[in-house]
Amino acid sequence: MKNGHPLFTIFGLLLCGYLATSHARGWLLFSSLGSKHTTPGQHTFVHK
Amino acid sequence: MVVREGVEVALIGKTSSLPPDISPIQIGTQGRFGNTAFTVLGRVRLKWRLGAWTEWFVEFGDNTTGWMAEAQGFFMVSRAETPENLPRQNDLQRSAGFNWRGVPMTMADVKEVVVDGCEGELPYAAPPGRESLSVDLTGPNSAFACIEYSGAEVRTFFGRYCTFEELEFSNLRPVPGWFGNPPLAHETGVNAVNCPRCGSVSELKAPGSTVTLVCGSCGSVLDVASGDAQIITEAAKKLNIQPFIPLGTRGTLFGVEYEAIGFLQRADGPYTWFEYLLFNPHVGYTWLVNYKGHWNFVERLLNFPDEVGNIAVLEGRPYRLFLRGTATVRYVVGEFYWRVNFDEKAQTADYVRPPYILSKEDYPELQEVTWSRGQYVEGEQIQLAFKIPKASPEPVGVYMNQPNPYVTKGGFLGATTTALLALLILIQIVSVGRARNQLVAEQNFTFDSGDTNQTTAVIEFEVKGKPQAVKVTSFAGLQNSWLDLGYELLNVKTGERRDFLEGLEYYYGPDWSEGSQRKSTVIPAVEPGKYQLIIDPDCDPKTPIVRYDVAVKTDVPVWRNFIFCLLLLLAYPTYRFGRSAAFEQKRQAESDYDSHGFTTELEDDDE
Repeated sequence: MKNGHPLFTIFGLLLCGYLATSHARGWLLFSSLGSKHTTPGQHTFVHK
Repeated sequence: MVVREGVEVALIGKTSSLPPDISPIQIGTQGRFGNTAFTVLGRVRLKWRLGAWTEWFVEFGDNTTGWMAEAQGFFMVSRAETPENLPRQNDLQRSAGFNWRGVPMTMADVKEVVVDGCEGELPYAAPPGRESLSVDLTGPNSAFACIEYSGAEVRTFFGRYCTFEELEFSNLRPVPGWFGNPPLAHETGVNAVNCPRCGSVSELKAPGSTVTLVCGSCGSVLDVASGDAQIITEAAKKLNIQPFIPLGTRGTLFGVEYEAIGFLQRADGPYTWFEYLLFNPHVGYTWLVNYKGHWNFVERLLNFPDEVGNIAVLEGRPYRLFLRGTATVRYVVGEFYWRVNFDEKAQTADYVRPPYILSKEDYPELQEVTWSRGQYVEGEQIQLAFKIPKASPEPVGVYMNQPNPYVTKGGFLGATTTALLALLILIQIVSVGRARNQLVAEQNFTFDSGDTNQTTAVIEFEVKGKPQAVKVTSFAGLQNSWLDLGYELLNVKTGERRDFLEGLEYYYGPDWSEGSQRKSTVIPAVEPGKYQLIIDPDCDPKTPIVRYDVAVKTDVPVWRNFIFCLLLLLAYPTYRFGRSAAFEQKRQAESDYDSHGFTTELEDDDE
């Protein structure tokens, strides 16, 4: 189990790196709004 | 025999030959006691009812003399010194105490002693058969004292217990069969013992130190302390127990080579365990104890711990009381430095501080108390050390001083987690602080579902600087109704579009409500540029005209990523903590005593 600590440290630092980058790039986890399209005029809205 | 009186020496006769022994000390051996060098001049072999030991007469560098007793792998170095109040012989009582040089000393044992043999220079005539009464006293910090009453003579000595290492010996005797020396004793059969009962021959592994030999063939217990072997106990019921470490096997543990010379099975009620006596001519005796696959390397303590309630303190470190019991010898084979007996009972108390254990054994019949310290050892280490072909049995359950594998060494995981947590929080605070969270547009709209010529609702705004998250907040004063707002975010320059739907609904009764009149959506990674937010509403036919507000904020702070990272970061430490707690619970289930207030932590092996 002792060998898991360096891995855990690296993992934690990666998380910190991700968080800092996400703020810098405006990322948002689990957002369905990431998809983009560039076909003007062909959008459709969904209603109840 | 040469007797020294001051600087004069006199030859007063020959003495009987001494029995062979495996001691590394010889006449001429030099050593150091504290800052004073000494040389061994002679020795007396003494025996008593339950064993024998050797006293080495030494001359110190300051021309004074003293004694170095060698027994059970320990050395007790002392000089002639008279206490303030010497007890009279008739007043002697075990456990009685008195001050000697201001040191509180306790009488450890009183025994009638007979000289077995001697050689070299001695301060008094010690012919074989000379009788005396020997009183040993012990005190704090390994203090040792001895009073010897012989007829009208009284000799008193004060010193301390020492280990082989700290005496810095030189000119040692080459011990046959050890440290690269040829096994002369084995070749000549000097150390062979014939069992008087069955006639089988056993080779003594530690002659001179061994008191009892248990015949491997018939199980008779033999006294081999001096001269011919005498039967102490006839063979008891012979059990067919094969030691995991065969007697006579050598192995290196913690940098010292040991030979397994004795094997015991002891029991406390339904619980049984095995003890191996290990021997090294320099270091003396240690044990390996095996209980259901759990191993402990056990060394006898020179300094006794302090017992305070359910705590024993050794070298400033507390150990908690785990079990008390009565250990009884059930099976024994090999050789031992004490008079081992079947059914010998000891009152035991075990104090733990994983991976260490302090064990107190009280032998009421012998009026003796011993303390030892064990260190948990993996079975694989034992197997490799003694080159045993088969693996040690898998440990069963959690042993009382077994290190918790989920507790990190020195709290490293805890410190790492704290540091990473602090870093994560710092990044979040700085990022949130730097986010502009700027309201760039806020507009009111009225949607009339019946108006077919209604113009499209559009909000225009600009995103400046870096890519960022943009938040769109929708509000409608709904009363038991719903409103769907279809949004499309259009980058005016690139034509890139993103769409999403915001459904608002709000229903309520006299004592209930559900839904919300306000909702927000965060659009991630919006590139800098000019945008149009195109809105396509739809509403409840029952309320065809709806007013709604839309607000747009750029560069908004985001918390979701932080929460997710936080949970991920804490997942592994939480798992470890849970497993650790379960492990401790299993350990505690075996204890008779509360563990309240105690934490388990691993310590460095090399402390």
